Amino acid sequence: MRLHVDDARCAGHGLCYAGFPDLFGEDDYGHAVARAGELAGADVKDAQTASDNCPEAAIEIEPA
Amino acid sequence: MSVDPLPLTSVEERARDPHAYFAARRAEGPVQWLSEPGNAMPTAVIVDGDAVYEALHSDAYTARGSVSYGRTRPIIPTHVDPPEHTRYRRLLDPLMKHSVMIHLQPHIAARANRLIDGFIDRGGCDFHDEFAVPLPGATFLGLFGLPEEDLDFLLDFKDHVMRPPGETVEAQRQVQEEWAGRTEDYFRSLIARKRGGDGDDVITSLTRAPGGGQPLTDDELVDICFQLTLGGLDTVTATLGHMWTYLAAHPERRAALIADPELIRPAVEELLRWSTPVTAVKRRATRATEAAGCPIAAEQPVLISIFSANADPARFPDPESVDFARQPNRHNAFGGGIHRCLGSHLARIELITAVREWHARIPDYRIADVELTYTDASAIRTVNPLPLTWTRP
Repeated sequence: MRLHVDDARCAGHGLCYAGFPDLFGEDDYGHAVARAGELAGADVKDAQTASDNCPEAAIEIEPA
Repeated sequence: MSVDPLPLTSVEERARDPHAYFAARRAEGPVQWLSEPGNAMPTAVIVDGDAVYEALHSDAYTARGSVSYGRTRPIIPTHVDPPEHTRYRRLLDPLMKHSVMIHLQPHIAARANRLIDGFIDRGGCDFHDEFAVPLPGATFLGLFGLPEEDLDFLLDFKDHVMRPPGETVEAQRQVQEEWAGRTEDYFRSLIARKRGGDGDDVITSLTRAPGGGQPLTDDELVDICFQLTLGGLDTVTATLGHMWTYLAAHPERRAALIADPELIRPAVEELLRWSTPVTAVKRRATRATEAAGCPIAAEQPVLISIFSANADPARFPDPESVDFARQPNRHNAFGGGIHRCLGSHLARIELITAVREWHARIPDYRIADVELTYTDASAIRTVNPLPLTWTRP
């Protein structure tokens, strides 16, 4: 599974990178950047929590 | 869809018990109509949660011309639409992002402690005047790189422009215009002093020509200063008041935060949702549109009720209940879409820091036995005064 942030939807609330800094970074504008690579183990649950809490529904978990 | 205008006496109820008020409104329909003096058309008040979310993201609405604050120019960026709006956000977002705002954290913590030093031995304080007002005010001194002696003027200007005293609308307008003019002069002189300097405050940063783009004009810089000041003071004051109102009444929840500081961040989010101090945002339809199937005409004034959305049981089960472990908690207390609150990262840092610093010094306190007074002028719901008492250390 892979993490994806839809930058067109992202409004820079920053809940994802504040709550899960191992999974999300902050770009120059305070928008979220998804960590690249395969999601495994506890990361999957954290990614789902981040996605569920995004006020813009901008976080997707995609099959690899 | 209700077409009868809301009675004005309901305004007091809305401030005192917004959960009950908006539950009643949502039961009547997703959109309500409010007659406001001076407006030819009634205001469409959107109260349904999904319709609020849609309205926040719709390009059919603008905030241009919604509130003047005694000026003829817009506040930037709220009163601007794309594409110009996008340019301003791309200049401002990098200066207000979390990794930059976090540098103010020690300054905020130090000020919180200094304020507490001023009343801890008294065994009580008026939380609103003695903590909730000066803390964000002092934060702005750090954000703008201002001297301590400018704090009173900043707070005075903000009060006179947002809540102008006066017996008539005309009298109030005159006060607003006078104070807006005085503040324009202050900001212009500040910008001239900061220009070309090497400070790392937000004003100096804005005067530097941004890479590859047009530099901001003095007018634009003043408009931005108004936005930041009007957006960042009363809002944080109001939020602090609601948070402490809840925490004062729930000692076991306070104890949980002290025992596990990791809980502070989600607790702040839940208290933001529950209190939603910026209860609504004002807009105007730029073309005919609809909200939850209700037709909205071009030029219709619109009030997007964020409080109602954050209290909608369709989006948040048991919405009146404060649950620090609420999952998910996808609230819109900072708005959403392109006008997402520019200061949201700074606000969260202020709120989290205030909770941590206060409870390390004053873990046990309660509200003195008075009935609390709520107002929601300018759509910012505030509790004032908020007398707290504790056992003297």
